[in-house]
Amino acid sequence: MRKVKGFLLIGIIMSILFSSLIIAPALEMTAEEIINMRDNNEYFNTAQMEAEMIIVSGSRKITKTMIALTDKKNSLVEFTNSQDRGTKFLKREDDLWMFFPDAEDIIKISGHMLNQGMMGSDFSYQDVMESDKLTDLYDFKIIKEEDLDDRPCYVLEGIAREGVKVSYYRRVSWIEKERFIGLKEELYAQSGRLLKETKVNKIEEIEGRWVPTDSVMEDKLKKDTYTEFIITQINFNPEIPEETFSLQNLR
Amino acid sequence: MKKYFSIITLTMMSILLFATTTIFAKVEIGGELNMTLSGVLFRESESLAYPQGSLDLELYIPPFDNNQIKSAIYLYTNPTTGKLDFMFKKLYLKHKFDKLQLTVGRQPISWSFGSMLNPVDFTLGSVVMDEEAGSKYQNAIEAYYPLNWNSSIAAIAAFPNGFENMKWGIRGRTTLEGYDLTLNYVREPEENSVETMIPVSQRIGFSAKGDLGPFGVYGVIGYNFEDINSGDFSFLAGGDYSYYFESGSKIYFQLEYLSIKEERLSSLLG
Repeated sequence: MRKVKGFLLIGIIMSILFSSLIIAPALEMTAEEIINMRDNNEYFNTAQMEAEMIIVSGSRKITKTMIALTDKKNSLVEFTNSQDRGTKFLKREDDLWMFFPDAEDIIKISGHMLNQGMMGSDFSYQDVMESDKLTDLYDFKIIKEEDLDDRPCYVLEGIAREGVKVSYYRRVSWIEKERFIGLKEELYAQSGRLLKETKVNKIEEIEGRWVPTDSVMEDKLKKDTYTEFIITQINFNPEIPEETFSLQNLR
Repeated sequence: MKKYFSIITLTMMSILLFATTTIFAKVEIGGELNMTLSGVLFRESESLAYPQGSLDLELYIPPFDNNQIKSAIYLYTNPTTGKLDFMFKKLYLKHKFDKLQLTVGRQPISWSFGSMLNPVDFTLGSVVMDEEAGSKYQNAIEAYYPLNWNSSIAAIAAFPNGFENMKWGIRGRTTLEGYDLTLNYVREPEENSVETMIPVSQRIGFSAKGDLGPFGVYGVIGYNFEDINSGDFSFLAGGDYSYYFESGSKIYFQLEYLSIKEERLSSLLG
C-alpha cells in the first residue's frame, strides 16, 4: 500500500513538473508571440477554397457563393451564385481590381470604394486588403485573460503604430490559449467608438490545422446587419500557376 | 378654371426579380425583370398611368476548350411607341489562345475607369454618370494580348454601321506605383447621311487612376485631331473621398473638372 502511495506521489509530482514545463512558456509569452502564433496557425502558403457569404439585413438574407485561390500576398475570388456569377476580384499585394461581368470591364478599386461593403456585406474592401503582418502595424499588449464560450483566452489590445495606414486605430482580440485561434475581435475608431466586431462560430481541424470555418462580421455602424462567412471546402498548399493572379485571368 | 395644374409622378411599383433556370446539362438561363408603373395625377383632371417593363435575359453556357460563348438580350417597352422592343447586348464567342484572347461578335466595349465622363472612351457617351447607353454594345472583334500580369494591349475593330465603315482602336494598359495607366487611340470612320457629313475623326488619350492618401484621384488628357496639322485638347481631372460619421452616416464626394471643346460636349454626354 505504501508502495502504491509512493508511485502515486511520484506520478503527481512528475505530472506537475511536466505541466509546469508546458504552461511556463505560455505564461511568459509576449503579446507579439501570441499574435504570431495565431497568424502562423491561421495563415498558409497557398489555399483553394469554396465559401458562402450570407448577408443579413433585417429580415432580408442574401447568400453569395464563391471560389477563391490565395497565396500569402495575392488572392483571386470568383462569385458563383446566379446573381453575381462572373464577378471577380484580384488582390495583388496592396492593390485590388474588380471585373464587372455585365460591363466586361476591369476597374481598379480605389478611393472611396475601398470603404464600401464588399458586395453589400459587412466586410469592406479595405478589410479584405489587409495583408501586412499585424505586428508590423500595431503595438500589442495583453490586457487580461478570460473565458469566452468556456474557452480560456488571452485578450490582447493592439494600438496602431504611429505613421502606419490602418483601417482601425485599436483592435481587441480574444485568442484561445490552447490552440492559438482568434475567437473574437473588436475593431475601434480612434475616438473609442466600436466600429466592427467579428466572432468565430465554428472551428474545424482540416489537414492538421485548426481553421475557423464559420465566422460572423458585424458592422456596428449599421443597424440589424451582419455577414456570416462559411468555408465549405478548403485545400491547403495546392499548386497555383504563376499567371493565376493576373489581370488577364480576370477577363 | 385655372390653367395651372400640378403633376405628381409616382413610381407605384418596382419589381426586381432575378432567377435562373437550368435548361439542360449546365446551361442556364437567368435574368432580371424590372417593372415600373408610373402615374401622373393632374389636378382637377383624370390621372394617367404608364406601365413600363424591361427584362435583361442572359443565357449562361459554361466555358469549354478555352472557348466562351455569351448571350444577353435586353427586352423593353419602348417609351415612344409603347411596343415591346429588344436589343442584343452580347452575342459573342471568346477564344483564349496561349498568348491571346480573341472575342468576335456583339460585345460591350468601354474604356471606363470609374470617372463620370470619359472624353477618350472608345465610344463617347457609352457611360455617362454611371449610366450606360446602348452605344456601348458593338459588333466588333477584339484581340487582347497580355504582356505580363498587369500590362496588356487590346486592339478593337468595330462595325457600328455595317461592314463598310470600320471603327478601330488600340489600348495599352499597365500599373505603375499603384496607378492604373492607359494609353489609347481611336479612329472613327466618316459618316455620311442625308442631313450631315461627319469627317473621319481620331483621338488619342492617356488616363491615370489611383490613390493619393485617403483620396481617390484620376485624370485624362486627350487630343482630338481635326486634320494632320490641327486639333484640340481635352482634360479631365477628378477625385473622390468618403467620410464616415460615427453615427453611421457617411458623406461621399466625387468632383470632376472637364475641359473640352464645346461642340464635342454633346457627343460626350451621349
